[in-house]
Amino acid sequence: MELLEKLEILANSAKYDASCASSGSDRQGGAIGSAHISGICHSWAADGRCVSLLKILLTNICEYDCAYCINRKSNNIKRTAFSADEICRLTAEFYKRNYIEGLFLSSAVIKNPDFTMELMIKAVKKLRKEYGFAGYIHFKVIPGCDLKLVREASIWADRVSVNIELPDHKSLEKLCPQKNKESVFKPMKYAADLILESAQSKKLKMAPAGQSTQLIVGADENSDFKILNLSQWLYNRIYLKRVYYSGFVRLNDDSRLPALKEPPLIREHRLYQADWLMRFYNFKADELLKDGENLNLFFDPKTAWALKNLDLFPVEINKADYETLLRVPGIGIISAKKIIKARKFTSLTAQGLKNMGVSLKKAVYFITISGKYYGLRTGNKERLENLLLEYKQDELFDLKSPARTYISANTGNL
Amino acid sequence: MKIIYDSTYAGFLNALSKSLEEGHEEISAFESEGLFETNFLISSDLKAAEAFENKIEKISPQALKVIRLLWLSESKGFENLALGYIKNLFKYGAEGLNNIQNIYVAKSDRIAKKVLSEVHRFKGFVRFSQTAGGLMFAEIEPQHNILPLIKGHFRTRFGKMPFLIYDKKRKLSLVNIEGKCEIKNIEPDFEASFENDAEIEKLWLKFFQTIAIESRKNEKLQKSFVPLKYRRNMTEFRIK
Repeated sequence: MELLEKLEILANSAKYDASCASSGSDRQGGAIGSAHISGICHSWAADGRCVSLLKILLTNICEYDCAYCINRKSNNIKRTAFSADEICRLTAEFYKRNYIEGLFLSSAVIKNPDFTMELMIKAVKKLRKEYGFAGYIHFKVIPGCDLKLVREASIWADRVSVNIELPDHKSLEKLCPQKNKESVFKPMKYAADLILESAQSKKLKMAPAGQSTQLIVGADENSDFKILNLSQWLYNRIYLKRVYYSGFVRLNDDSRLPALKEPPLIREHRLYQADWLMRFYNFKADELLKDGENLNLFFDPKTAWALKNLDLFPVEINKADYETLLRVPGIGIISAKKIIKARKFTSLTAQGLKNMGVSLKKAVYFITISGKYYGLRTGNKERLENLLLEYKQDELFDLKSPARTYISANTGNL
Repeated sequence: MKIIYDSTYAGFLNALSKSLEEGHEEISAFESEGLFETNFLISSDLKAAEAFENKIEKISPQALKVIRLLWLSESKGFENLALGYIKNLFKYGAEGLNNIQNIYVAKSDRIAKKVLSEVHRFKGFVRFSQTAGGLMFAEIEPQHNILPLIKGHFRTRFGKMPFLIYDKKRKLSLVNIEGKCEIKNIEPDFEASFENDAEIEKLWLKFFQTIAIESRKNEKLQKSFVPLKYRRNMTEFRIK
C-alpha cells in the first residue's frame, strides 16, 4: 500500500481522539527540534480543532470489539500498519517544514497490548535516537499492557495517556468487553508515580509534560455530575494534567449505543468550561452540580452557579479579593488580574474598567463600583436570567442551531 | 508643533525624547507626512537614542519592552500612544505601569499584546519548503514586524538546519546559515525550485483534510483561528 493511503487510513482512525496539546515540556538538544513550554498550534482543521501533532495510529488492525469504535474488529474496513521508519520519516519531514510540533502516536490492539506497545516503543525510540528528534511526543498507552512497557514509553515521550473511555466501569464493560477498570487504572497510576518520582530526579525525565486522559460523553447514561467528580479525582489524586471530553459520534450501528444523530457538542463544551472552573477558578464539582444533574446548556457553568447563589452578589469590585472576582460571571482570569493590578494604582471607575478592556456586559449584574450598582435592580431571578441570555458570551455559540456550533476546548475565560 | 522623524527606530526615540523636553503633542513619521514648513524635522542621533532607552529601562525594563513592541507593531499612530505611555511612566515611575485605566497605557499594552500574540501564531504558521539545494525557505506577510521576535524560537528549534524566512511586506530576511542567524535587508536571490517537496506537501494536505471530523464541521470557528489573511502562505490552504 502506498504511504499516502496508509496515512489517510491511520489518520482517519486516530482523529476521534480529542487531545492535541503540545505544552508542558521544554525539551531541547537533539539534532532537530525543541518543545515549547506553552505549546504551539500549527493549524486548525475544518472542524475548528487545533492541529498541533501528527495524530496517527500505528495500526488499525484490532483484536478488540468496542461498540463505539471505528476500528473495532467486526467492522469491515481497510486495515494497515505503519513501519517504524514510515512514522519517523513522516514526523521528521512534517516537523522540518514546521507543519507540526511533534507526534501523537496511538494504536489499535494488534495481537495483544504488549505486542502493540512494543511496536509503538520501537517507533518512538527510533525517532529519538536515530532521527535525533527533540520535538514533542504524545504516547497513548494501551490498557492492560505490562507496566515495564509503560516505563519504557515514558522515557521517550513528553506526555503519556491512558484513555478512560467511559465514566464508569459498568459502561466500560458493556461497551468495551475486552477492557476493564483495572486494565485502565493500573498503568495510569503507575505512570503517575513514575512522573512524580522523575520530576524530582535530575537524571532521567519521564513524560515531563505529564499525563492526560479522555472520555466519551453521551455514549452512556452517566451524568455530568459523575463525570466532573471523576475528573476532579483524576486531577487531585492522579495528578493528571488534562481530562479531554469527546462528544460521542455515532459511527457504528450497534444496539448498545444511543441513537444520537449529532454529537452532543454543547454538552461537551459545557464540560470543558466546568473543567476549567475546577482547574483555574477553584470551583469544586459539588458546587456546580448535585448528584445526578447535568450542566445547564443555556448558561455557562459559572453563570448558572451565580444564579443559584444570588445572595453572594453583588461584590464590590474595588474590594473583592482575587478568588471572589474569579467567581463573578463575565470576569475571567485576565480581567481579574487586571483589576487587581489597576487597584494598586488607584480605585476603579466604570470608564476606567472600559478603558482597560474589562467587559461589564455580564458582570454588571453581579458587581458594584465604589458602592454604585449599574445593573438592573431586580429581585426577580427570571428577569435576570432573560437579561443574561441576551448577552451570549460570543457569537460563535449560537443557541438557535446548537448542533452546528462548537467552541474550542481552549476557551478558558468565563 | 508636530515632530517629524526619519522613520528609523533611533529617530522615533529621539522624537519621543524631544517631545517630552519641549512639550510637543504629536509625532509622525516622515513618510506619512511629507515636508511642511510648520513641522519640526529631526534627524536621528544613535547615541541619544541609546541613552533614552537606558533611561526608560532604568525606571522599568517592562516599559522599554512595551515601547519596542509599539515600534514593531507599525500600527497607525503608535508614536502618539508611546508618547502618552512615556509621559505616564516619567510622571509616576514604575508604579505608573499599573495605571491601566489610563487610555494610553491601556492601548499601548493592548497593542504590545497583539504583537506578541501574532508572534505566537507565527511560531505555528510559518511553512517551510525545501529547495533543491536543501535550504528550508518560508515566506510570511505578518501584520506586525515580528521577524526579530521569532528569531530566537526558530534558531533554537532548527539550529543546524539552514533556513530563510522572508517577510514579503517588509522585504526582510531572517537567514540561518553556517551557525549564524541574522535579519538582513535582502530579498532572496535564488530561483526557488521545490520539486522535491511535492510528495511531502501532498502527504501533509491529505493528513490535514483527513483529520477533520465531518459531523463537527465548523469553518467559522476555523476562520477565527486561522484568519484568511494568513492562509496564502500556508501549505495546507495554498494547495488545492
